[in-house]
Amino acid sequence: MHVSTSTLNIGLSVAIGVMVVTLMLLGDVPLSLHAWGDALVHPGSLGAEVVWGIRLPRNLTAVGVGAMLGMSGALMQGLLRNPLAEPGLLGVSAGAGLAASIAIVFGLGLIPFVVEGFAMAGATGVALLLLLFVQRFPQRQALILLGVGLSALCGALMALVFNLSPSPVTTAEILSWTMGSVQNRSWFDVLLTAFGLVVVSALSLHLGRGLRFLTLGEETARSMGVDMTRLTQTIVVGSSLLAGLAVAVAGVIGFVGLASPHLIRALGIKDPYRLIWPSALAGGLMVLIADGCVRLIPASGELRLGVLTSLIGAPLFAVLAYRSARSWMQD
Amino acid sequence: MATLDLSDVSVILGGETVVQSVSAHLEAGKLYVVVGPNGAGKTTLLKAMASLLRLDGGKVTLNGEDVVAMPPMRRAAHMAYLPQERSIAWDLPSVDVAALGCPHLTPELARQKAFSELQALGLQEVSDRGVFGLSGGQRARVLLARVLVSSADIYLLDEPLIALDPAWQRHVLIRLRERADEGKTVVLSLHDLHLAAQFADEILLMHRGQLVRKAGPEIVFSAKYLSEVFNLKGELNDVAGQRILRLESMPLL
Repeated sequence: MHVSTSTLNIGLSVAIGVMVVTLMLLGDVPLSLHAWGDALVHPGSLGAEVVWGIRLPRNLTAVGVGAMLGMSGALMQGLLRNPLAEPGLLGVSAGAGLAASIAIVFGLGLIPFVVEGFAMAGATGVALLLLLFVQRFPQRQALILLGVGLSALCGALMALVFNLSPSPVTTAEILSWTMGSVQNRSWFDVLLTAFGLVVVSALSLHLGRGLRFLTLGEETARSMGVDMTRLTQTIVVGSSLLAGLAVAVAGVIGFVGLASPHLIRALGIKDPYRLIWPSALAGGLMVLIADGCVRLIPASGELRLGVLTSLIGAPLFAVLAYRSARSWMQD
Repeated sequence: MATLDLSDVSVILGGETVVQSVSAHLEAGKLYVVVGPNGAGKTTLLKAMASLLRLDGGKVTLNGEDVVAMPPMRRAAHMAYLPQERSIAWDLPSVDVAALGCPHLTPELARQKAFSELQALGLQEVSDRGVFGLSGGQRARVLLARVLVSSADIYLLDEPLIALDPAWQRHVLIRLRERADEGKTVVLSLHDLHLAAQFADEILLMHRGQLVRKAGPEIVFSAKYLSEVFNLKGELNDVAGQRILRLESMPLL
């Protein structure tokens, strides 16, 4: 199947729009189309409260978080020339998770924005380490090795936090946070995701074309005028910002960053530069649908978003991997 | 039209001097072939010309201008480089890979130019096919097309004939010969001394990091250099206007 990038972008945007509207109507308080229309024009009504105060920010946060993960995944895969790369590969998500769990252990979870702030600080710390490293060793293999090391270290430290946490309640709180959610998110969260997406889109427009030349290897890219150190630094910064913000806003949401670019490739777009925006839209749609399911599927306890994305994402990814493997065999 | 000058170029990699004080003047309109045994420094020399590694001595100038000081984009506009590494990360259609060679054209024009070059290299039928589905030889030609579409005036190609069958090897060399005749400076490294003898205007003979001789094939492929550098016995004959090299192995040293 082959579709043009613009057709795909439009199609995915329309699908997101339709899903956002549909999901605004559904929920514990079902709204008719009429009531929804009423809510749009009468602020202050109960319907308006549900639509403007709860469902729309939640839906848009889901789209924003998914888009950040999809975009981050596409950038990472393009830079590292590796279809297995994902936003968490370099340890930024793990750093954000570690810092957030420390905030929760110290009982700061109840103060607004503190956990988010800690998560961003953790992501920034890891990103700075990566940047310092890239300046000295710009080779991608070195970057992957350092990232995997940092990720493992943050994971180990997080296990230590669990180990030493004062009470099972705190442990449960951290665990629940790491499973990811966009429940009760506000317009502030929507703004945060929009900020990340706008900044990184601008960076990508500016430098992302280098990813195309990088398809043929670092030497070819450099011979074609690409400043590899600058490209690597820009993408590390951009992808870290997206991954860090995503964790800060919604906790850990697995597989979206890995699977989105693959989904777009399966639709025929292989160019790592043109892949960036459709991957973002696909990620947004995926998390939006997953969050809709979390909200609407009756479950005894609350089903967590991060759990569901991994549950859907992993088999989907396996199918895509199988299809790619089969097409390589045929050719 | 461009001339490339190397003066006293040295490159040290991992504590070893891989290219040692090489000086050479390369003119527009000529086809230069770099030859030498394994480890002679051919690849490093080409990378030094393309400014892809740090020089530990000397300098490379393009029309008199220091290549290292040139902004990367402007340098790229003058030089097209084919590395030995032939990996392609994503399964792009052949025509899109070839079109990467002309980033300054509009996408449609770039694709047109890429398609006609693919056609010239016998790949018109696979131009829309993903490169992962091509044979090694086809993929090598797609990557060559990427360089051949370039409007750069210097072509630097590291082992461009790898993976090609004998017919395509000759065809590609004819194609490069045409580019040289159009006024481009073409520099390539080869292991096949027969082809080097037939197609080169001048040979750059590398041995242990040094440029032993830069001259026409009739001088470089003399009994002296063949035995000293390659440990081969041989002679170059002129058969009906064609340079034919006969080689025999010598006992291993």
